[in-house]
Amino acid sequence: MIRRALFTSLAASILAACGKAEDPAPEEQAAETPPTAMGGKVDAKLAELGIVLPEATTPIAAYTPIRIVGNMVYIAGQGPSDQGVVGRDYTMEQGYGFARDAGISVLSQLRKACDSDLDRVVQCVQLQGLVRCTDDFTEQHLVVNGCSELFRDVFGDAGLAARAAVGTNALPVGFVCEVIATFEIA
Amino acid sequence: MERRSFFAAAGITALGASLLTGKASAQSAGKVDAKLAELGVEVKAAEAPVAAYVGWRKVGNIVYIAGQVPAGPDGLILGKLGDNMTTEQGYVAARYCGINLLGQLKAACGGDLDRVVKCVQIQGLVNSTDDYTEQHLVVNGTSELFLDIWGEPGLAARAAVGTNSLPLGIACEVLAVFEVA
Repeated sequence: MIRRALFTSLAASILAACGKAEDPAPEEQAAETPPTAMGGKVDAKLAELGIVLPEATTPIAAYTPIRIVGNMVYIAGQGPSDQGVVGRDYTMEQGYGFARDAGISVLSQLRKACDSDLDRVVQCVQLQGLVRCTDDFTEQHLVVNGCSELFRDVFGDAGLAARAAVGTNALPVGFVCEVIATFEIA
Repeated sequence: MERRSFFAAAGITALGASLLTGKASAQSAGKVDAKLAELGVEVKAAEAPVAAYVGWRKVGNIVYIAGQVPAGPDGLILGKLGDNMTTEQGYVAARYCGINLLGQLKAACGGDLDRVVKCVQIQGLVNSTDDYTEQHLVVNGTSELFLDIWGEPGLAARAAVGTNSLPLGIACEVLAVFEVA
């Protein structure tokens, strides 16, 4: 059962990684609640920012997108749907946009972890942003701001995290960046 | 009471380890130990750190384990994915990282791996060429080991990451966080 779900997810995510939307697995679909039915403060903020959270993506390998321990939510590394290298294929500003996209993926997972109620989010605790870049690119922190500033816009100061921005030469599927986040929820 | 039983368990484990007898460990073997035996996985005593750090830290019921290296039966597995190693070889290296994580985890659990509730987080760092993109399949070497041992609770909120360089030239390094009872 678990293995089957994993492999179904794998196919879906590869398609997703290639920029094609794919219907979520039926069991996940059943768990989703239409956000409009119970829009809270954060949902209103998202609407104000013009952000529509997509369905949470499914894993591309042997892992689970969310782990909850007590009031802590650990979210698996999320990437944008774009591949490439900052400093070669993309500018810092474009990287910022991709980090924001990765942040939107994080919010989709977080919403699922909160049973669709993002008002339960207390704060973003930790954020690691990995930027696939050339050896001489040194503005990783400005790229990762794409994610951090999104969270700040959505949650206010509580959206800011103890953060680390890191450069790397390679990421899974060739992602431009990857964001790993931990949140506290009520 | 809880503390006393914890120290008693630690004492028994230390005794078992010092005697180095298979008989002693067989007597105290739990469900996870039996599963490891079934999988043919031998978990060695936790490796001592090679720099200024500790092998693990426990806060409440959360165990943070330091980055573990792919130490196999023939020593450290060195190499770079996309250059001199295949994804399958990387997978095997990541599995050894997983086995070494189990050694640390066992020490953190006072020798009793049945106390593990679930794997919370895994970060797998893969020594990669610039154009290598299968880090997630390499790190499956760790994840699928934990999946085989614990089932779904063995899966983690995971991140697989590439890097151009790792300590001693190892092929991969895996960090993990577990919840224990």
